[in-house]
Amino acid sequence: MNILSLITFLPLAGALLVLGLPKESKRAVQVVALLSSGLTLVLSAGLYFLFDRHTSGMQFVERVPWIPSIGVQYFLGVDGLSYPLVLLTALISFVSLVASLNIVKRVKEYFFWFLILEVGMLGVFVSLDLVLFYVFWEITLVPMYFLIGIWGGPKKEYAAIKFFLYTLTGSVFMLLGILAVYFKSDPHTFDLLVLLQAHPDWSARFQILIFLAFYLGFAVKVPAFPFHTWLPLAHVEAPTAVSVVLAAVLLKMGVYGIMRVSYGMLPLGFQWFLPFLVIIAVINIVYGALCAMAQTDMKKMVAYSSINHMGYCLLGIAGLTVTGFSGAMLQMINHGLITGMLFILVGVIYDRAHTRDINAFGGLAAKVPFYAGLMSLACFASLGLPGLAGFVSELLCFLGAFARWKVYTAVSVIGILTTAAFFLRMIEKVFLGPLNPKWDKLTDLDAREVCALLPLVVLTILLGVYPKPALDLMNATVVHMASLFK
Amino acid sequence: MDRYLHAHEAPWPMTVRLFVLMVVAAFSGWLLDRGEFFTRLVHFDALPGLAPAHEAAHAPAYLTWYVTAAVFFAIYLAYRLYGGSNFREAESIKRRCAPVFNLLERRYYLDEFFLALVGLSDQAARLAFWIDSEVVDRFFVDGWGLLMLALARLCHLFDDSIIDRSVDATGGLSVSLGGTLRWIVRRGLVQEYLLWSAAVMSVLTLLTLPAQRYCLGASVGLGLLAILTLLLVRRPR
Repeated sequence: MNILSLITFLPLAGALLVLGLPKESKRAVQVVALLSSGLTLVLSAGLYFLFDRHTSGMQFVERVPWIPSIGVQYFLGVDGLSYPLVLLTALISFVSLVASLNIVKRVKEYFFWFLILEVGMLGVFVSLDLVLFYVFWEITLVPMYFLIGIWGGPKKEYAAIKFFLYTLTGSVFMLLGILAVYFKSDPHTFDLLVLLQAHPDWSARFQILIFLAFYLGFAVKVPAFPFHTWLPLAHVEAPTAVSVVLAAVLLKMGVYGIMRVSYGMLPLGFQWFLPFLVIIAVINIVYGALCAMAQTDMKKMVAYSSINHMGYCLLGIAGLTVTGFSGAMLQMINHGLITGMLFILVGVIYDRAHTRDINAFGGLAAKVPFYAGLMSLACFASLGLPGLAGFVSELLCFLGAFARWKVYTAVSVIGILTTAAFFLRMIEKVFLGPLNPKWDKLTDLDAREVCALLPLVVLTILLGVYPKPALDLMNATVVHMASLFK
Repeated sequence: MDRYLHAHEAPWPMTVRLFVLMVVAAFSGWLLDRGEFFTRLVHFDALPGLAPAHEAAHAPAYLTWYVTAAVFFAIYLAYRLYGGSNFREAESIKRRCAPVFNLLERRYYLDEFFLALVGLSDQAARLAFWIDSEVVDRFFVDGWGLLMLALARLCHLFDDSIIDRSVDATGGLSVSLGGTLRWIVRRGLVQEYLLWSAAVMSVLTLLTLPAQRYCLGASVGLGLLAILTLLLVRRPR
C-alpha cells in the first residue's frame, strides 16, 4: 500500500478495531485510537524527510480507476499546499485524542467517530479527484454531527443540526459545480489535475457561475462572512477536542478548497470575484474581531477570533503574490496550532470551574501560574506578537496584500488592534488582580493536559522564531500558484 | 487612595533602589567614557551619501555647557518653587497657567483619549455582535430556516388538503362508481342501457348515412335487433 493511502486509512483501521472492542474496555479503546492516530502522525512526519521541496508537482501519487464508466479515480497526491495541512491534521488529531482521554460518556463511539473524522480530513487534503474529494468532504460531516450532537453542551442538538445543514447546503452547490465542470470538460473527467489545465476552453460566464457554486461550498467552511454564524454556536456547544479539530483543521478545508480548486481551475471566475473576496476578508478581520471583543464567554471569544484569523488567509490569497499565498498557507498552520492551544486551555478551565465567563474569574495567575503562562502565550501568539508564530503569517498576509489592496490592508489593521484589545482584557480579567476566593481550590494543568499542549507550544515558538522550514515546504507550490496570474 | 493624590516621600524600598541605580548610572557614565568604550559600542557605519558615522556622532561642544546650565537652572527653579514649606509661588503659577498645568498634569489627556477609544471600541463591538446574532444569524439564517419551515408546512398543508384529498376523492369516486355499477349490474340495468345505446347508435347511423343504402339495411337490422333484445331482456323483470 502506498504511503498516502496508509496515512489516510490508518485511522479507519483504528476505528474498525475500536468498533470490534467491547464498550466496557475503555482503556483499550483509548489505546487503539491513540496508537492509530499516533502512527498516522509518525508516518506524516516521516514524509517531511522524503518530500521534495524543489518541485511544485504532485508527490507520492497513487492512481487507481474507481468507477471507470464515469471516469472516477482513486487519485491521491500531495504538494506544498496540501502536505503541511496533512501534517497539521495528523498532529491536531493526535493532540485532540490526548485531550479527549477525560471523556467518560460512550467512550467507544466517541473515539470511533473521532477516527472517522480524521480519515475524512486527511482524505480531503490528499484527494486529486473531485468525486473522491467530495466524498471525503462529506465524510467529515457525519462524525462532526454526532460528536457535537452527543457529547456537546446544552444546545448540542441545535448546534449539530445547524452545522450539518449549513455545511450541506454549501456542499450541494459544490456538487453542482463538480458536475458542471465534469460535463464541460472534454473528455469528461473528475481528474483535478486535468481540470486545472482545462479552463482556457471555458467561457468567463461559465467560470464565474461555477466559481460561485464552489465558493458557496468553501465559504461556509472557512467561514467567510455572512456564512459564519454556525461557527460560534458549534464551538460553544462542541466538546473541547472537537472544537480544537473544528478550528484547527476543518476551517482550513475551506481555504484549501479555494486555493486548490477555485483559484487554479476557474481563474476568470476568481479574477471576477477578487474585489468581493478582499471586502469579505476585511469584514472577516474587523467584524470578527469586534464580535469577539463583545464576548464574555471565553470559548465564544476564541471562536469569533477564528473568523477574524481566517480573514487574514483570505486577505493573503487576495494579494495574488508569492508573499500573500505564503502568508495565507502559513496562517492556516499557525492558526491551527494557536487556536488548538486556546481551545484546549479554555476546556481546561471549564472542566474545573464549569464556567467560561471571563467576568467570573480574577487573579488566577497566582493560583494556576503554569496555566496562566500558557494561556498568555497562546493569546500573545494569537494577537500577533513578534517572536511567536502568529506574527510571521499575519505579517506575510499583510505584506502580500498591500501591493494590490492598500486601503483594504490598512483597514484590516484595525482587526489586529481589536484582537490585541480583547485578548489583553481577557488576560487582565481572568489572571490579574486579586484572586477571586471562589477559585481558591483551582488546580494547575495535569500531565495529560501538558502532553496535549506541549507540541503546540513548542511549534508556536519555533515557527515564530524560525519559520523557514515551514515556508520552504510551501515555497515551490506558492511560486507556481502566483505565476498563474502573471 | 487619597495619599496618592498629594506629594509624598518615596517609601524606603524605592529610595534604596533609586540609590543603587544612581550609583550604577554614575559608574556607567564614567566607564563608558574610558578608552572610547561608548563610541565603540554605538559605532555604526555611515549610510551611503551621508557623513561618516564618527563625524555625525559628535555633538558640538557648546551643547554640553547648555545642558549643564539647563540642569542647574532646573535645580534652582525647583528649589525656588518647592523649597519652602508652603508652595506659594508654585501655587500662584499653577493658578495663572491653569490650562497648561492641567494639560501637563493630565499627560495631554492621552489617558482620556485612550479610554474613550476603548469605550468606542466596546460600543462598536456590542453593535457588531448585535448585528451578528440578531440580524445575520437570527434574521437571515434562522429566518431562512423559519421560512423553509413555513414553506414545508405549506407544502404539507397542500399535500394533505389538496393532493392527498384528491387521491382520496378519486378513490372514493372509484368506490362509489364501482358501487353504482354493481348496483346497476345487479339490477340488470346495464344491459338495458347498453341496448338503448345500441338502438340510439343505429338510429343515428341511419340518419347520418342515408346515401349509403347498404348501410341502411344493416342499421335498421341492428336497431330492430336491439329493440328485440331489449324486449327479451326486460321480460324476466
